[in-house]
Amino acid sequence: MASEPLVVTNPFNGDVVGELATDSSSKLNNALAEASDLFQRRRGWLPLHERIEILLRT
Amino acid sequence: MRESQDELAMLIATEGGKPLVDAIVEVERAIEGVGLCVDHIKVHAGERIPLGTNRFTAGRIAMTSKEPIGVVASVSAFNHPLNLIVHQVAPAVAAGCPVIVKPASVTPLSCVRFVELLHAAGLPPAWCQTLIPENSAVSEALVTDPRISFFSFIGSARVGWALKSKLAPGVRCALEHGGAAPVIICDDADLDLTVTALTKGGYYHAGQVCVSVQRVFVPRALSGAFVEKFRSAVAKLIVGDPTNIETQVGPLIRPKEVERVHNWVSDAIEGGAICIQGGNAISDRVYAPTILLNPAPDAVVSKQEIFGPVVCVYDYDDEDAAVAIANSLAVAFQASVFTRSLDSAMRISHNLAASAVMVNDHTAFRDDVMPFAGLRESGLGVGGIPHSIEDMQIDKMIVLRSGQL
Repeated sequence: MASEPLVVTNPFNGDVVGELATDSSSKLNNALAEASDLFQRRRGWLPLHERIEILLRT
Repeated sequence: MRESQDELAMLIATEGGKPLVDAIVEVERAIEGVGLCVDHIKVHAGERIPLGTNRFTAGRIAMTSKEPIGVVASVSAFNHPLNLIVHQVAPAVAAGCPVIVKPASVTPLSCVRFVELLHAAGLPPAWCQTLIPENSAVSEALVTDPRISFFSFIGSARVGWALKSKLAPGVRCALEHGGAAPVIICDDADLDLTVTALTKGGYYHAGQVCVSVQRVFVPRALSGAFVEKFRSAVAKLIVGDPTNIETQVGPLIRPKEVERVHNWVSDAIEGGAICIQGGNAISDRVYAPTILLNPAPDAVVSKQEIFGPVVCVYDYDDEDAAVAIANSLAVAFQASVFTRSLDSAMRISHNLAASAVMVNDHTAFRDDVMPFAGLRESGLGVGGIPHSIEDMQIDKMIVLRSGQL
């Protein structure tokens, strides 16, 4: 069952600004598994120069 | 980010209620914050450790190198919907940590947009994921999971300390909560400069900032003149729609906060405080910029963080007694002193129990390179871009040895 979306409103007038789908615990679990795998695979870490390039482009 | 500057500022104003003029500054700071990350990691690669100073360590070269600490879980607050996310996400990326970020449920859109920009800049999506939990159990499951290595929290003390007690063993954390920032005005202060600074620092984002000016101590002989100048400046603040570029004070984040602030103000007035300015809700979402004179020491506004557009002014006869009251709360964060005297500036800066003291500026002054730390119940660890990057890395020792040396 899909959960209720998160409705974001303007605190000044209550107008709807946007709506986002919400994440369940299984979605969280996938995110944690993915993040944790990335960290465990030490050879796949982002090298310093790539992190610098990404942040400079952001 | 530069190309999206206007869009980001408008997003902050519409979802967070921060006046556009301040939202524009927030975006500039956020951009600069990302730049500070680059500056830091370009320079701080570790250090040489002096070995060989005795015969047991001879023949070795030793150094530290920086390694990411592990998965970072960041839980953020609503009051700077973009810049706090930058503070809790960009250092993780800089440090080389995978990061999962949970924005405040009322202001998630700026966060989502920033993470999109990171991905567009080439960060593989799994390295930075946004979590919009369907309920608070999912959010707590993120924080308490043993797969995270660092927990970064900005928000209320109640939630922060409760979550900290549930972290898995070995998980480090940084907590940034609120305060009730004190200001000591000396009898030689430049009153015009003082009033200008306090009008900004007390009512910036309707006081919804952890280092917002809350308790102002003024010498009794100066009180009348100060209060009149301050009242006249606060009365001129333009209150209203945050998307209007003229607006200086917008709404509180939720209608129930307007109610809470009004209850606290009413209680203080009932307990003997004089309402100099404001003291009323303008609508169910906006509270009038308010000045209270001499609330009782045990009034809620004298003891707890108001997180609304209310500044309390207290007359004092004795500086040491005023500083003692300023220092007496369970929360402690940034503080200010206004004086023209070097002696007073140095004496009071020393005597204030605070993590930062501004001389002749308001308590909410901050640059993102500065260490930024709540003391006591106000937080744990030190924020600010460089400190956060260091927190999210470990110093790994590498010791090289040769039999030929």
